[in-house]
Amino acid sequence: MLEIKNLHVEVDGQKILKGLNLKINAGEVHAIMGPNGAGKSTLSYAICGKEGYEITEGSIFFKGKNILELEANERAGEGIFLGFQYPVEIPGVSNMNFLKAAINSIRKYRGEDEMAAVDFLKLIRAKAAELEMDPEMLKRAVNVGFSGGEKKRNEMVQMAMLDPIFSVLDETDSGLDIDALRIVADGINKMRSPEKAILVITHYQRLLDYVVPDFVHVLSNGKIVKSGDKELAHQLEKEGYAVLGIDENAA
Amino acid sequence: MSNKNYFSSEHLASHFEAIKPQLPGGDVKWLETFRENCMERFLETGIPGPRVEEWKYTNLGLLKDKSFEVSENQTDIDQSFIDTLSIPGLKGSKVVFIDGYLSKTYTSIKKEDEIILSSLTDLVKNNPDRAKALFNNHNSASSLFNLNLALMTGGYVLLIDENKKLAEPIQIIHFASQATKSNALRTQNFIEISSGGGAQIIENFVSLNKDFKWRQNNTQITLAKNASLEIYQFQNESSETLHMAETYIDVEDEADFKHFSLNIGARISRTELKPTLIGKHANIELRGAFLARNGSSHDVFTHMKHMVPEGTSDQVYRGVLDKGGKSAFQGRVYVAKDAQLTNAEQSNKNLILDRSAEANSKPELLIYADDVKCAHGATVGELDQEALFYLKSRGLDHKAAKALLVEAFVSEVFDDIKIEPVRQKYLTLARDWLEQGE
Amino acid sequence: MVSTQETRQTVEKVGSDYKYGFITDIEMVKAPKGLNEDVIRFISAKKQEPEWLLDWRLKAYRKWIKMEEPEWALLKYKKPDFQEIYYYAAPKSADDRPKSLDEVDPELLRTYEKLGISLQEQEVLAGVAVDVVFDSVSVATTFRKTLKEKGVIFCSISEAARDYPDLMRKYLGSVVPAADNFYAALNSAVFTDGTFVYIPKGVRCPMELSTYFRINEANTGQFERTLIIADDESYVSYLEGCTAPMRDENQLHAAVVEIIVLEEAEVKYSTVQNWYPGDKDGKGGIYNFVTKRAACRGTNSKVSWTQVETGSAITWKYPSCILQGDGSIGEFYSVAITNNFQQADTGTKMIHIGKNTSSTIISKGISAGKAQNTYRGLVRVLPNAENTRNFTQCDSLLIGDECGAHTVPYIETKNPTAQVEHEATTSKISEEQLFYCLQRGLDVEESVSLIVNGFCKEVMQQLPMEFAVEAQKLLGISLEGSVG
Repeated sequence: MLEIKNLHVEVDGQKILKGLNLKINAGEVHAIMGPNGAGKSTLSYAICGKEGYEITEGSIFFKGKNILELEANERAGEGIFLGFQYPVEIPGVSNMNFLKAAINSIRKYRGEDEMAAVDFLKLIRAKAAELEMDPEMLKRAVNVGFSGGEKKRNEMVQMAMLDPIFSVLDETDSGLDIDALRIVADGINKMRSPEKAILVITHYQRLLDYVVPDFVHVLSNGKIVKSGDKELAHQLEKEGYAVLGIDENAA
Repeated sequence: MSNKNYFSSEHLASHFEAIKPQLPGGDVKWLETFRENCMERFLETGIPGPRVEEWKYTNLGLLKDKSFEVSENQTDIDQSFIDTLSIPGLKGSKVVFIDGYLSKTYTSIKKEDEIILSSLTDLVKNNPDRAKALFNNHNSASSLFNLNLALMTGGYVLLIDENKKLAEPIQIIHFASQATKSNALRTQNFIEISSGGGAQIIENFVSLNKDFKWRQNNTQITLAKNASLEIYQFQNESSETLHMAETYIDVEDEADFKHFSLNIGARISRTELKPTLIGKHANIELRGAFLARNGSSHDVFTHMKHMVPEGTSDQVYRGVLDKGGKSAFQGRVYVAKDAQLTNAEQSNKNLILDRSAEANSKPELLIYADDVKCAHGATVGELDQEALFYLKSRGLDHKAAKALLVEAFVSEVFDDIKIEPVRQKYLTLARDWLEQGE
Repeated sequence: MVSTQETRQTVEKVGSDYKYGFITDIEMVKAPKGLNEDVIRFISAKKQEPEWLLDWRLKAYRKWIKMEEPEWALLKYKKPDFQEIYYYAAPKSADDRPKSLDEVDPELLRTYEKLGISLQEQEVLAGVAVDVVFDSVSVATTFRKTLKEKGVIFCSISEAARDYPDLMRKYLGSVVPAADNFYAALNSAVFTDGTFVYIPKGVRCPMELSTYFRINEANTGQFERTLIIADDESYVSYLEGCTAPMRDENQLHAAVVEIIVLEEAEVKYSTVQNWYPGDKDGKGGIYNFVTKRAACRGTNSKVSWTQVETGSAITWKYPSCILQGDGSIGEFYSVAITNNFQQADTGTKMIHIGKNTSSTIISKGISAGKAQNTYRGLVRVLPNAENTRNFTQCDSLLIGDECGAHTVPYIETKNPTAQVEHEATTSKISEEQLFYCLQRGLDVEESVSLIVNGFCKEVMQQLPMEFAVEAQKLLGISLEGSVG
């Protein structure tokens, strides 16, 4: 589904990713772990097409299509979703309006008709309920005045609504208490299906107790230095990155 | 050129002609030409009237048909009196102006400061090339700035070499007496700090005149890369004084300029501060308080020009307006097209204590760059009644409670001052002013 | 960005395609070009005005010729040549005024349909009473009968001069005196039509009243005058919309709106101003020099100005509130968008005279392209205005690095019990916000429109429903091509 080959990414002239390779098949959940500054967020932005993240070498193919030429919104239209580490506040724009605009833009990209208002309302109420979000929150401006946990939950509602094929979840677990973590993990697990894939980026192993990955990769200094199964995550939790010869403070 | 927004200023032209020969340096040809050019520039517009936007809140109509006299007959003043005008505990050089002329008697320049600090007239005499260079750069200055240049009777010059940091603050005392018949006191100062240099200056304006006097004290400042300058001003002139202080500051890369002012005296005071950030990462802080009552009016006008990227500026002004007091804060922040990543803030809060008082505030943002953080806030209000009641319930009488709250409101501006005797002086002056109220 | 170039092209196409930029071919009657006392007499005669009104006009004219154009605003433009303008242009067929919509020139009706205002539809479906001013004259006023039953007078100001002379004489120029300022004086001398509204005591006007203004003729100025009187305990909501054809020359629009609000009455005045803004190179466009002022004369009277300003090459406009009555309330909600070479200097004046008066100012300025956008506002508290409250919030948004956004507030307080607060911020659409929207699938234009609408929300929600949707779309359209 997603194939990244020899990816080199620079930000402000600084080399962050230095030849990263990653292949994710439909139905799989991959986790990327690594110390701060390893390039984890850069990878997620490069996949989603954020401006300022310059691909100097390599390729990213999604469902057989080279997506490097696509704008961020076109990649979203292809079915790529990014759960932000720090979801952005958009004052004055209600969650409801925001999602409606997003869904219809994606539909337009795919050549589909707009979603009927009634269907949209039904869907959003159902998804909010599933993720235990107070329906009042839907009327509030996107992420404005939300707590850290509420923002992350809101990301999960958006993911559920947009129903992506491939989701990148950047440190979705950071700043969550145990209840919120459980809800977020449920949200992610609901997205698991043979047709879909998920890439979970995390610093800690904690989330991976709830969202059990098929593969775990360790990212360090712009490259994947080790891959394994979920046991690798446990090992890192116990023994730290030093075992792999990674100085956690060096980055 | 005549412009009906300006007052006719021909009488100042005749005044200039009359006193020209007796002005300091009257025998120096280039200086005379310079003065004439400045006078000409002044006359292009003249004295601004209240229809000139920047003078909306301060009417200079009282200058319209005043006749002016200037003479250098220095009054005998007791050294102990001068000492009372000084800030205790400071050991640095002291420059004393009496009625607009530098007084050699009371001025004491420390040995280590001799090369860098001098009187303007001495510099003209001893180092004319250096003096000429200083006078070179004022073309865009205001009409009144030019008037002062034409008529100045002295000033001080502070020139600091690279990486030299003054150990002690310099004190400048501007005193006006009752004895002289001079009624126009004009000083012009220059400060140039080379890269890495630093200085602190304390300027105290005090006057005892019972008749009208017009004081102009203008300063031109250049801060080179990484230079720093702090200026602390106290304005406590007599109630018959028109006090004007206009300062231009050019600030280069990473230089740091801080200005603190307290205006409590004068009939009319006008403080103009015009910093231009011409180097990246420059930082400017302007802090001040103005307290007015009994027909006194203060006008603080700032024009912060961000010309290059990544500069920061912060302005905080507090006004307290008691019976018959009036104030205006006009603060302009200008961010040029190239000045991306500027961070500029401005805050003006005013307390009105009496119904005969008036507070005006015009904080302006003129922004031509898009990636900037600029904000301003202005408030006018009365004392917090809840807080007043709270204090009273703890046993303070009304006057004491009020004074305490007002003092807290004002003192916030001076909290950051590191030179303790200076901070104390600000607080004492403000407290004394408050106690004089009803 | 890859899409940028493409977006620009699309937008340039759209930009040259100002939706309302058509010209209607209608036979016109015009006064001779230029301005003098004879032209004023001509206008007055055409309108069959009473003697006192002609005198009033002439007095204003004689003051105007001695006045100078104001220069304090942050606006740069070529001053209009007042002798090169036609001061009166009326559809010929309107010489015999239409008695009902059936008699209106069908060409004109089609014009309004192009504007998205089908007069019949408006009349039948929307329940909004419409007065239509085409160039200089009011051509149609709908819903008159229904309104009349309630005692509401809604007619053109020319009719009012003939039919309601007492009200006119009492209130015309009582809020904006004939020689109040340069443009108001010009308007007083030459105003050709406009709307007159009177809401009697205790009446809540049963429907929104609305006027659409249209400049059609070349070289024609539009000088309409609106007078609204809300008698004790009455209420009315009034909407105003405007468009003009695309022309290479700058056309002058100098209107005056006066509102009188009596005891416990309330007037809500909403404007969506979409005059032709000029092309993307700054050629053409309307000069919009407008004086709008409301006097809250009664206790607890209230006036609320809401404006969405997206059009005009130059905007000079400060809808103001004179809060005379004790407890009266003034509100000003404004969105001003400038793009390309547009310039706007707009804001408000809140003059607090009575006791316990309060005012709120919410201003959102958005500047893009090479435009300049200035908020200029005065809050003045006079000595007897006990317990005045004012809150002002001015936010500016910059899109691109060639435009300017400016905030020039004036706060003048002479009463110790006043509480006046002003806050202002300037920012741009953050890269983070934009990327967040893009990642969710919205394209650049949609994202900007969404973010800007969010930025303006506090103002937009003040608009009546009929206007809100149109205004929201306008925001998006006005900013197309501004991000890249």
